[in-house]
Amino acid sequence: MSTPSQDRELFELLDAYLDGELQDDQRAAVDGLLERSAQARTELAEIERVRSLVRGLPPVDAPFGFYERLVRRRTKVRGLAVATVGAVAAAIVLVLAISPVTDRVAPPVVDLGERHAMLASARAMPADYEPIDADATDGSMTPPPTAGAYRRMAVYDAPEGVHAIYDNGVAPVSVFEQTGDVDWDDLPVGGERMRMDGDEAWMMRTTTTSGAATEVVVMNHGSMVVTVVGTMTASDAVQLADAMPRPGRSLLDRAGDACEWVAEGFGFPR
Amino acid sequence: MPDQPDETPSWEQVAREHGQFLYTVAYRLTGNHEDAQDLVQDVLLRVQRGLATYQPGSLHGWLGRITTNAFLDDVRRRKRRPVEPLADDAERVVPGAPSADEAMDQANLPQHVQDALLQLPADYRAAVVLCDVVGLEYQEIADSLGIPVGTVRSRIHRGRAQLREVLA
Repeated sequence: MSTPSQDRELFELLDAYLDGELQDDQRAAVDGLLERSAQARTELAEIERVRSLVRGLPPVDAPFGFYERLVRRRTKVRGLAVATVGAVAAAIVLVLAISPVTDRVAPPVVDLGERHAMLASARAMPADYEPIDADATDGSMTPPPTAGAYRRMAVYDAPEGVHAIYDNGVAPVSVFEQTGDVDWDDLPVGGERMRMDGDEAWMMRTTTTSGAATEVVVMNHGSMVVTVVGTMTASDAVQLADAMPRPGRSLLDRAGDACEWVAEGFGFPR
Repeated sequence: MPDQPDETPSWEQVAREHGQFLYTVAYRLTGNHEDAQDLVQDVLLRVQRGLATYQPGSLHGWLGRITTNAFLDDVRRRKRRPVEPLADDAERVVPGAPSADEAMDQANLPQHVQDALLQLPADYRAAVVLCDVVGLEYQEIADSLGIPVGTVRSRIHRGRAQLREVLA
């Protein structure tokens, strides 16, 4: 004889029963419930009806030419990536600048693009850059190993902060972060201002000397300024910026004790 | 449409030969063509990276898992930070006005079922879609979403219960 509470639990197994996902003893228990309860039989029939409705939904075709455009676009991106190796091409720049002083900051957008293109080519490094072993820095001040489809490839100690390269298998990416708020008036002409959940942001599309289209996205990220540069979609840029440690919540809090290498390396006042 | 290729398919094969399945799952999760196209683009990027480690087996199961996880990632990201479009970009595959075919598709869809799906919380919707659209078993769904099988069972039960209420 089952109790009402046991029956309630069995009612919750009706979907799994219908899907053939119960073990023998559970299935037997539900069989018993169905024998003695008209309500259970009705509910099972209802579940089956709804399940059939969902399973009966027809396939949906993408708009005409959708995949063809994607394939063409991918081919183009792949070609650009190859071209980048030999010259200066689009890539992605993630720069993380750490300073305990909040200031108004205008990221050197053009210069960052050049540096990041140089790093993306994997053939050279700016003279004032120094590689950082991100895995050996307690992870507290470094950009995360992954950001969505992007994987961190390298991190550098840059004059203004930290410069990290990511790659999603299509094109390398970088991020640049500086303490302070964006000095919007000091950004190059041609960009577009926007807001993201209360944070101001700025975006500009540029073309590198090799002809690759490059997005530059600058945004406030807590008390930091994050600049993302590279060939990417807008959502990729936002995803990368979003994945960065958010200062004030974790990054700066951990900077004091765990990231002396950043402060010392960058020469910022403490 | 072969679901279990003997060899690792190329990116183009996935896009061309399994595009309808991929798009169907994306559309069931997002409920509109614009977001479905964005999701498919995201998925194909992940597919490209994952092809090197793809183990021949149920390609649709694999694609369904990637699609659902990309969808849930996007849902979480939007919760943290609602995103406005950065800019019109001809290079991006941004949908324009619905084509005649697209409009006809929408008109022919059992829209009330799709609408009911969209009323489910994203986690429930993902479990139901993986089960009833992709056709994964509970253990596969659990592995895909990184949750216990009991949670999968619960989400499917509650998801379908909400569907029953909406579709009553």
